[in-house]
Amino acid sequence: MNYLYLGFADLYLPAVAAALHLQQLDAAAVPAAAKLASLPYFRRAARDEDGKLFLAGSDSAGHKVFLLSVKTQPEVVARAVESLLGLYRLPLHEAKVVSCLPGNPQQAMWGRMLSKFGLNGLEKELACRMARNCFKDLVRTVTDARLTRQPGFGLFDSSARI
Amino acid sequence: MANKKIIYRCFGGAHSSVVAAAIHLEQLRTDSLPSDAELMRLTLFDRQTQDGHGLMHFLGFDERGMQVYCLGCRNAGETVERVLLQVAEVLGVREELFFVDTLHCVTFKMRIGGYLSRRWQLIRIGRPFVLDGTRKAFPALVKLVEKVKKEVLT
Repeated sequence: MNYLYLGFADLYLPAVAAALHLQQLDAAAVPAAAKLASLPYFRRAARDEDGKLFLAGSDSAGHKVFLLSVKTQPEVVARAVESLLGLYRLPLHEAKVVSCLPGNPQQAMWGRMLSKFGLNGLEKELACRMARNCFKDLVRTVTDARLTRQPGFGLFDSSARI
Repeated sequence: MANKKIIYRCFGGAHSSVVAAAIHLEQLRTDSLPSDAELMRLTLFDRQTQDGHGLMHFLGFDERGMQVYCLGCRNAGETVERVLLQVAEVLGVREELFFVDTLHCVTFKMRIGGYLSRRWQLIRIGRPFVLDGTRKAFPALVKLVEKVKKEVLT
């Protein structure tokens, strides 16, 4: 089973979601900005990293956790991955795409603009604020993703709850 | 070889990729331009909807037993291909996928007609443009498919 945390134009929210999944962040409290900024892959995706998979690590159950960002059409990308699994008659959780998109896509646009003008510090600050604001939503997203029915078992994986 | 999947991809998965797949599957003659009726007989031709974007549609087996698909990626063709190839690598099936971009064969008339017919549902206005544009693009699509068949064989 592989988890793919998908972001829009940057890796900020997928990096937080992956850290939550890998229990590198405490889900009970909103982390400080410094803690978020120190996360691996908590950054803007470079031009040539559009659609590139980054392995964040393996969780306690041995499932691989990836993150990726796309500049456009995240829903088409998610559908295409599901379609690929369908081609091989694999269950959907074999490569589960988990959307970590900002509630307002303009947030990503503002970040991109700040970065374009060389205001990278300001962009990172905005990203930290965005990640802190939607931290609870990310916790819920990751919990839901991990509660997927495990193959061969009739029960939900309760041990995966964070 | 039999497990190989040839995936023709374009913007909407309704015109150029469908025609390229049909040429590959020898559903269309390559020595003459197809008629309106021949094109409209093709599965999905000018029928794909936005909900179908991102879905790989199986269109048949070619003479070597390879599976042929078409795929609409909107303006994220390269990204979709990149993601799928990496996911396929994780799943251990990377070598079986062969993507073909058909967008560079698309004519201006096809673009206009496709936009009117598929995006705005103005089928009566858009379809004649699409049919005419597809006939103009047909020789380029035939060349592309010939190249693909050679590449896949080597």
